[in-house]
Amino acid sequence: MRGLMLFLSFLFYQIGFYPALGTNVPPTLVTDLSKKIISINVNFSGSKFHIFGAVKRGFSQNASIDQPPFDIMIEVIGPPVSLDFFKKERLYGFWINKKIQSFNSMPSFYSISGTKPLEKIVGKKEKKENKIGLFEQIKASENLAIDDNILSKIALTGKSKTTYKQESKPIIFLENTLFSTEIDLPTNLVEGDYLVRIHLIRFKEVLATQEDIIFVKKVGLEQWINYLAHKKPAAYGLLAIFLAIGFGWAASIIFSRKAY
Amino acid sequence: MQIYLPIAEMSVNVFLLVGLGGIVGILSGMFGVGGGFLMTPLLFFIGIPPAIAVASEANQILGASTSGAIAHFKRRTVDVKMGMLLVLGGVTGSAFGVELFGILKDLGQLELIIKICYVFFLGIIGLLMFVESIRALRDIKKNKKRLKKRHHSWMQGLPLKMRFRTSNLYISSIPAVVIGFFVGILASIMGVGGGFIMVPAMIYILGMPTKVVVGTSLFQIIFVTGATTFLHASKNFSVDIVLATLLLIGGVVGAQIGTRLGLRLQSEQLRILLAILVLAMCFKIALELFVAPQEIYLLLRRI
Repeated sequence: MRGLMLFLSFLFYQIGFYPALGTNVPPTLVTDLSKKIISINVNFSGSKFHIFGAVKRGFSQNASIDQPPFDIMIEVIGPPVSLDFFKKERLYGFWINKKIQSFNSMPSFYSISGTKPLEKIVGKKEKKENKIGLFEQIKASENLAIDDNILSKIALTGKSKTTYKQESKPIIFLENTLFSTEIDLPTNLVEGDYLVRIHLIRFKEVLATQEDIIFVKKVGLEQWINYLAHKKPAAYGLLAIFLAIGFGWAASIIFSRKAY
Repeated sequence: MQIYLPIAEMSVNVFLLVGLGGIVGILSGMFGVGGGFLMTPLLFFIGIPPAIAVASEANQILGASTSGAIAHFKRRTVDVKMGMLLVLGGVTGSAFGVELFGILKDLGQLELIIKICYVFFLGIIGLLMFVESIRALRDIKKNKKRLKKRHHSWMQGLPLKMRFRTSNLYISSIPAVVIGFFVGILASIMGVGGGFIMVPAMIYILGMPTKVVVGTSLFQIIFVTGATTFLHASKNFSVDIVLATLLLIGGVVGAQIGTRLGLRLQSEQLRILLAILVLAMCFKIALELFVAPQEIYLLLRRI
């Protein structure tokens, strides 16, 4: 008798009808990236990668928290860089740059995409609580009070169109379970770790967040030149000089039969 | 075929760069003008960041001037002593210019200053070239030769006089150093060799004989662009070796073609076209400075 009870309870638990446990077990995310490393080589001209995954339901088929509709939001955040924010102003007919603020650690790249228009997925409060969105990222990494007015203008800058972007194509989401999207990376990528954050959201409530990292690095000739230029600038300068003179000299020998 | 430029951090078509180098090379071979003031604005137009365009172009000019300088050296049409004075001023000017370049970059005003310099100099060069070539065309018709040589009395009063055997001059060394200094600043801020300033200055201010002017100018350009390349590379990290090399490959071949074409074609008529091209570039850069920009906010990376 005891054995039967145990067996039944085990069975119920397995098929999800066991009431005491699992009522509030939220679904989780299983995700992966199509690439873990992006190499910048001689013929690099931007890159793409896929983010894909599935919603893994909890055990409580009855609990409303575990039922669709779900939404997915994906953020890709580049390594921090120092940036200056300027406003163009007219002075004696010229358009000059006037510095408004300096930032010490701004994301070098930021992309956000969702299964629906973003404002329909989460509200301001949830964004703040879960640090979702470019402004929240900047506020979190800058460690200083930034005027919201300035933040909203950053979104208007030319740089934002390629570097800080809201993806136009929505995330593909099948049967509230499987999702995938493609992120385009521009050519002017900063080397380092790109944080990928995937949020599972239901009626504006963030149920789960999964993080992953994609690593961008220069390889081969690009890596060598970059290393030399920044770490051994004097040697790099001399190399540039010798290379140029060498080419010029070679040209004068090749064409000397009929030169000048 | 795209190639990634490691310092400019962008991807550009190889044939576009070699082609630009070639076209500018042909023009400079035909008209005997340095390619810098044509090439640097073209690099702006294809989206190379001005700071990198300027520093890499200085590197390219170094290579492009080498073969010419060698040829002049062999023919002994270089006034080495005068050249050394110009280099002394030039390298100092270049160091000053690179320092200024760094400060302007930190202030976020570098692009503005580079572009203002270009509008100013392209405007002047274009107009002078235009007027000169129209006048030359008229002179060809009237079959007369203009020969002007000016003597500046104020120069006779300056101290530190030196004898220049090759140029057959006995003048003060101060003007040469000052001219060199000025051209050195231009080289480092605009990415030009400065021949367009140097050649007239040598003829009209220093009074040097025409046959040594081009050779001495090239001699000076090599040292000054070499110093500029080195200083930009070590201070501003803005020399893109891949960019410079691709432009150079196109440039040296183009210059040879241009030299041969120049001998066959009536270059005075073509010079008007070059003048128009220069004025058009001046106009395009000026538009960017004066017309209200589409985006009034911008973010620049600090390095």
